[in-house]
Amino acid sequence: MEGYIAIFAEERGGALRKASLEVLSRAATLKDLGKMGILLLLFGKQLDAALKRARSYADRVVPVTADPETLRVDSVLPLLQKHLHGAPCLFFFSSATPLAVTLLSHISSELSIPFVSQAVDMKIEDGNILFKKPLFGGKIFVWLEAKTPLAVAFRSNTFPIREISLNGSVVEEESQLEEDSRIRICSVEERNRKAVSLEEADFVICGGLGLKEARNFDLLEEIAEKVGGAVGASRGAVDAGLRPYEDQIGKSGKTVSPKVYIGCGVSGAIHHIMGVDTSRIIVAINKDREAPIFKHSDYGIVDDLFQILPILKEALKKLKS
Amino acid sequence: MKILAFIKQVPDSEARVTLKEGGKGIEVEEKWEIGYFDAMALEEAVRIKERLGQGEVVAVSVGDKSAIEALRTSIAIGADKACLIEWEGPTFLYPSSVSRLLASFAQKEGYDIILCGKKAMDDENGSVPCMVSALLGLPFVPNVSKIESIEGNKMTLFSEREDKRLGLEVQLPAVLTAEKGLNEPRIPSVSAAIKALAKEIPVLKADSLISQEDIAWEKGMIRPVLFEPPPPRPEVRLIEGTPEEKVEKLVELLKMEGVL
Repeated sequence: MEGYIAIFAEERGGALRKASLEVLSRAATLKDLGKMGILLLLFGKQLDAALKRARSYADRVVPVTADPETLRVDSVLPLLQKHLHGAPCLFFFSSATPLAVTLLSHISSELSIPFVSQAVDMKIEDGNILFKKPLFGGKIFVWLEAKTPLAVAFRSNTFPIREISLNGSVVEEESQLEEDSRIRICSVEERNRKAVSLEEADFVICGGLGLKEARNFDLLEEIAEKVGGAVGASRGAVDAGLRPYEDQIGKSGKTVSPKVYIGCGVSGAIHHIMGVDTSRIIVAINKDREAPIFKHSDYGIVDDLFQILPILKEALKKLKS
Repeated sequence: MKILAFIKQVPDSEARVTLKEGGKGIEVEEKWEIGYFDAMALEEAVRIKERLGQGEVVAVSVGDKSAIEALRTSIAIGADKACLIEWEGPTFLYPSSVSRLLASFAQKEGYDIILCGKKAMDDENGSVPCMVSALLGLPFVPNVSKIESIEGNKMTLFSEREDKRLGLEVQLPAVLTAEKGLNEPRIPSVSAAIKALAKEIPVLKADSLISQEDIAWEKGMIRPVLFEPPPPRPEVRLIEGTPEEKVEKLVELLKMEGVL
């Protein structure tokens, strides 16, 4: 075996996370290249179901019972190295979740290997491996040719999830990570855990200032719920206190790339569009025909969102039943 | 109390980015600003000093000479000193190099707190702050939304994670990143801006901080081969009819597109 591809994956809501499944599906394509083994480190609290699924995507799975949100980042590499048994590790992959980016940044410095963050594509050309990532809020993309070993964090919704059947083994022993004595957790305030994160959602419905009041977002929640989607908000809506910052989509918020994005009462300023324009289909619902969002949309409805959305909710309810 | 603020000058939202030489290079319109999250980091550094009634705030940036503008603004906002680490980069492609330069600077200067924006607005890598903490062997706290107290070498703060908010007690020195909500950056007064014009802003050459080998290694590992525009989107198709008809047509179209 030439070497390993180490993958850091996360459990979320008792299952292997969508973002992680995408990376695992990608890594499988590299395995065909040379004699590469896939070593998967799976982080989470409820690992049983996730482990079962993880086995299909790796040669060896190391379960790590730890809260991905609070684990000690610098204790991960020693754990990984233990399970490499001296074999070289050519790639360190993960999705671009906040945890994973921190993890790979740390490992990159510790091992003096480069780290390509926010990759959206990967290809092999003439025996070289290249990664594509956005720059300047997605105004331009760059293909980077990289030498191994290296670390790469991939954005969500950039690769289809494939079913692989590697039938890997799960390491028996319990892996514990050290606590960081320099950082003490005094309090934990859980947020309303969303079924799917904005970055991983296939369907995103976003409300702008046109929603006017916080409670009007309930309608968007109901629509999203029908299709297993997520609800976002424009910067204007967040700054006006209609939604919390973690729902913000845009340059200073989250970048989403769903199959369909619906902007309701969102004007479509450039800083918002930057967080949205890799969506497959963009739909705008706005009563102002001149709203900039129509310049960036595939489909548009010029109408009162309070008229349209209840009808949309019923239509999706019917569709899914 | 010595507080370092890492800031980066980036193109603003309106700056045009065009392809050159058939995609071999790019040209970025020179409309600069201090990155959105960096501005919060700098503001917090100044506020910490004001709250404690003592201390020194040093703003530092890696970039070319045009970044001196951002450093001068940092002085106007309240930094005591500002310094440019001159390196042609481009910084948006080489985070490891940037972090090595910043870590070396920090070691030479000394620090109790290092503050940076959670990510830069040009590359959105979000990797430099943690890379620096690893190089310096310091605790790393991302997405700080509020600093509650500083007593001796203990700081209490709130750190935002994907699904939770953590209340933490952190041992200094530490590297912290600024998250939206931390503060509202001040707009410097005209008199502060004028005073900042007279301030000397030293320029350090990259090779005065790290070896030539260290400067060159990342560029030897990663090479940009092609720049591409985003895929174009066709002009919007407006859906007509009564509200009911519009929704029906929309759902049909989305089904046809294979997204519903």
